[in-house]
Amino acid sequence: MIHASEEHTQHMRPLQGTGAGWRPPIADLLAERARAGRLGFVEVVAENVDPRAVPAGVTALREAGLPVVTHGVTLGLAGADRVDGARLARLGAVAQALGSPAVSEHVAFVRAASSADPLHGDVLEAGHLMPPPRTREALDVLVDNVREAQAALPVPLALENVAALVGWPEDELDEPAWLTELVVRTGCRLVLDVANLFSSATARGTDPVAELCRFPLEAVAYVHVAGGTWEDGLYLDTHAHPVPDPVLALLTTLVAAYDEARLPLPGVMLERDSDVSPATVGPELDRVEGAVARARGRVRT
Amino acid sequence: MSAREALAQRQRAVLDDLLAGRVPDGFDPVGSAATTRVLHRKRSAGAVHACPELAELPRWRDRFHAWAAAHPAQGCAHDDVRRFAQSLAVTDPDWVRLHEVHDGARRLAWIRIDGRHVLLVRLGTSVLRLTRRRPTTDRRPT
Repeated sequence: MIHASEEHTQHMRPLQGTGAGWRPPIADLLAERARAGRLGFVEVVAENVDPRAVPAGVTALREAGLPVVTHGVTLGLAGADRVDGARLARLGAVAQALGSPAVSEHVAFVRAASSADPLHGDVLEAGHLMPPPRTREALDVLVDNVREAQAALPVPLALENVAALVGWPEDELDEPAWLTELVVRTGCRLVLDVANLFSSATARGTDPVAELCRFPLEAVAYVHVAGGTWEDGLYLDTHAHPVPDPVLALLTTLVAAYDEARLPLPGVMLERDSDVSPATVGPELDRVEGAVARARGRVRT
Repeated sequence: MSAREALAQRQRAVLDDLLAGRVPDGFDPVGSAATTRVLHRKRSAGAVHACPELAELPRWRDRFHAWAAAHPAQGCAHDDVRRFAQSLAVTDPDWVRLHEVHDGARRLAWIRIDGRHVLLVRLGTSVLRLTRRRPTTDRRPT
């Protein structure tokens, strides 16, 4: 087994504390938590922001010294086609407008054409982050795409594990091994989404804790946590429900794993995309903050 | 065939199956069905966001998902709504007129909603719904 280490990964300003996905309906809530010293960083979805018209609430947080991460969702780096230069340029422009310490994206494909040549149409849009087959050949293509993206982006790139409700019959590497190789070969950082890991592990019948411990923890730039719901024995990562106890427990395990490895815990942020309001997000941020604090043995009173 | 070509064909075949609600060869049926539902829900969420009156079409979500399985996305959520609305011309003419008033394609329409006649009038960006009050026997002049 190859281990990723500091020397493999791109250096970036560390993200710490409790973070949140910035959304307009919770701008005031996040500003208030930032003033109270209870917000470590925010993440902005690149596709939802115009680099020439950054929302005032985001600019205010940035001016208050909070890191603002640019999060892309439509690049499709694990797709078969070469990375779209226009999408990359836009992502870079958003990162520059936000002064982001990093750009994050996903180990996913979001569209598929019958040919890798973008000029030959017939493109199917998934509108969703689809898990790629984890074969050596697909990894080579992914590594190529990631290197291309890294060369074009002004800041380090961090890649997130997606929620996979299906595996591919041709899979050759499991997810921790696949992500470790990706880190070693490209120097990219990771966004470890514990809710996605829980969802994927449940679907493939593996132990999420055992897999978590094999993730290249030193490469993780920050952690995602989100809510979801159960359906047909599968866990769906909806970003529309409260964070369930098993996902919060996996987050607690992660905190212990960092402690055991004597690594600094990266920032942990909550994602919420439906029914976003101070009433839904506020208590969830409290729960995430509380779970991390308890796991570190320092309960906020 | 290059690695990219092989991967392109494989990803396209699997995505095509999942979008259409078929289980790709060798895939888990339960996880595949769940993935199909997630794909269809993302699409219907985009459609109803672009066209909130979609929620007034009876059983809209199930019907949109069935339509989506047979019609891969071409373009954005607005294109989805336009194509889906076209498929309802015969079965749901009242809803189609409602959509056309909201969409700006027409300014006025008489339609039936829950058995009642409603006059829809587009004024600027809003749509007024005028219902004729039913005459009632117990109403007396005061």
